[in-house]
Formats: sequence, structure tokens, C-alpha cells
Amino acid sequence: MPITSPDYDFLPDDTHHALAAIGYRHRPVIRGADPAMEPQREEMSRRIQQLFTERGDGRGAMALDDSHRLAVVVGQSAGLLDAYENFPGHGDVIPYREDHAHLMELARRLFRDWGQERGEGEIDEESGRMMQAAQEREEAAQRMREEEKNESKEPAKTTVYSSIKFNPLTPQRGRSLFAGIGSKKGTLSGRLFHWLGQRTMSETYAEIIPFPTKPETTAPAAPSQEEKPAPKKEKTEKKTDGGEEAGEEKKKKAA
Amino acid sequence: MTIQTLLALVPDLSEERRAQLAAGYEAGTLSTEDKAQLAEYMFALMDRMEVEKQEAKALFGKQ
Repeated sequence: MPITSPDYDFLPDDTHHALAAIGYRHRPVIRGADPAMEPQREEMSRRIQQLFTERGDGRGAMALDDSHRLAVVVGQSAGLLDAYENFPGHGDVIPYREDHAHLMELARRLFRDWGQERGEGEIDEESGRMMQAAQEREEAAQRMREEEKNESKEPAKTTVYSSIKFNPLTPQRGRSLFAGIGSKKGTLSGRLFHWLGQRTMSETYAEIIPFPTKPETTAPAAPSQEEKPAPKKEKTEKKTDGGEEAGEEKKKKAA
Repeated sequence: MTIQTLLALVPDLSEERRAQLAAGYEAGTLSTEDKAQLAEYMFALMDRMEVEKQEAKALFGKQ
């Protein structure tokens, strides 16, 4: 339909107003490269947005890879935790304790792209400082966790780190990894969500958090990596702590 | 622009459904599912407008 009506000039404001009135401040972002997956993604997007709306403040975004094996969610803690618990088939939560490096990398990439899209060509200075400070705190927390681990091998039920809260749920019947970044104080979300809400989050971000079934880009590692998915799936069905399992897999991959 | 006007821009939406959504919106009684549906319509409108703006820009920009 061509632009024929001057009313279109008011459409952005009016649609935003209507969305705000029903609690949607930002659109759910969930896209991938495969158009055939769009219906399922849309359904998941709708459900995740409902959760964010019902439990949080309606703000959140999610990226899902085409294989449906990995979901990366950015949102407020309340919405994220409910999303974990209410998202059937996606119960293999990556414990923050074990996989924080991937989440930090995801956050860094988001900030980097954010800065670039704003025409600055590099990481936003203010955000960079924020991330640097967060990284320092994270490294300090990691050292403490390592010390704790040496003293006791009993993992914590909930790890609270800085502004990121991650609830290490045990693996459930799901088949997907479910990684999340939640902002408890809103310092991350306030800046990031507005940007996220206006763009399509590609599977590029999902690739930051590796999944065992995804073929590696480096040629030498590819054959051995592809053989690992089956044992991984069996492991996640055990009634053991998911953090230990996922961490072991990550260590194997890194090696 | 009223919610009815906005919904009138949504293709393939029945009159009945349009009235139902508009009434629920104005009364503040939309269910969560209806809210999600309405949000999708609004986002789709925004997308369409953006596409049309770019097309118009490309068309008139070359003249």
C-alpha cells in the first residue's frame, strides 16, 4: 500500500502509544536466517513476550538460532526467571556460574554493535567503561568462586553477580540451551533494550554461545566436535546439576 | 489516530475481531493473548510503514 494518507505521519507515535497502553514498550526480537522457522519463532516470541509482560515490565528480547537449539534472552531478572520456568522444552539453562564468559562476550558484542550502529565506529565509551567495570567485578567474583570451589564442591543454588542474576536451574526435559542476561538494577536494560527493540537480533549473537551440535568453523576441530552432541544430550537428562555438565562440555570444547 | 483507525490499516482482520480488540483496548480489558496479538499488529504496521517510507524515498529521491 503506498503512502497516500497524511495520517501516516502520525502512525509511529500512535502505534507506540497503543503499544505502551497495553504494556509493550519494546518489540520482542526473534529472527533467524531460515524463513521456514519463522512461524515457530513467532509463536515463541509471542510466548516469551507474554511472560515478560505478565511478570516483568514488558521489556525483553530473544534470539533463537535456526535449529531451535539455542535461545539467548535479554530481559529483566523477573521476566527471565519466569521464562526459564515456563518455557517448555527449553529447560537446559546455562548456569551463570559455569558459562559467564559466554554471557559476558554476548554482552560485549551487543554493546560493541550498539556503539557501531550509533555511528561511533567502536564501543560506546560510557558503555565500555560499564562493561569494563562489570568484567573486573566478574573476574573478582570468579576468583572467589574458584576459592570456594576448592573448599567445597557443593554448587550454589543461585548465583548473584553484580547486576546480573542467573538462576542455575537443573537440566530438565528440554533440548535447548537457554542463556539469559538479566539486569537487576536496570542499568544494562535501560540502555540496551531501547536499541534491541528497534532492530533484528540476528543469529550472530546466538553463535557467541556455542552449542555442541553446531559445526565448528575451524577445520581441524570440526570432525571431533560433531561427534559430541549425542553424549551431551544424554548427559543433560541426568538428574544432576546442569552447571557441572554444561561446564564440562564447555571445557571439552575449549580443549 | 484512534485504535480503530490503526486496526483498520491491518489487512485480513475481520470487522468483528477489529471491534473486539478496539473495545477491549479502550476498556482496558484485553487478555494477555489479545495484547500480544494487538502488539503484533502494531509492530507489523510499523514495519510496513518503514518499508513504504524507504520505497518512497528511493522513488522520489531519484527524481
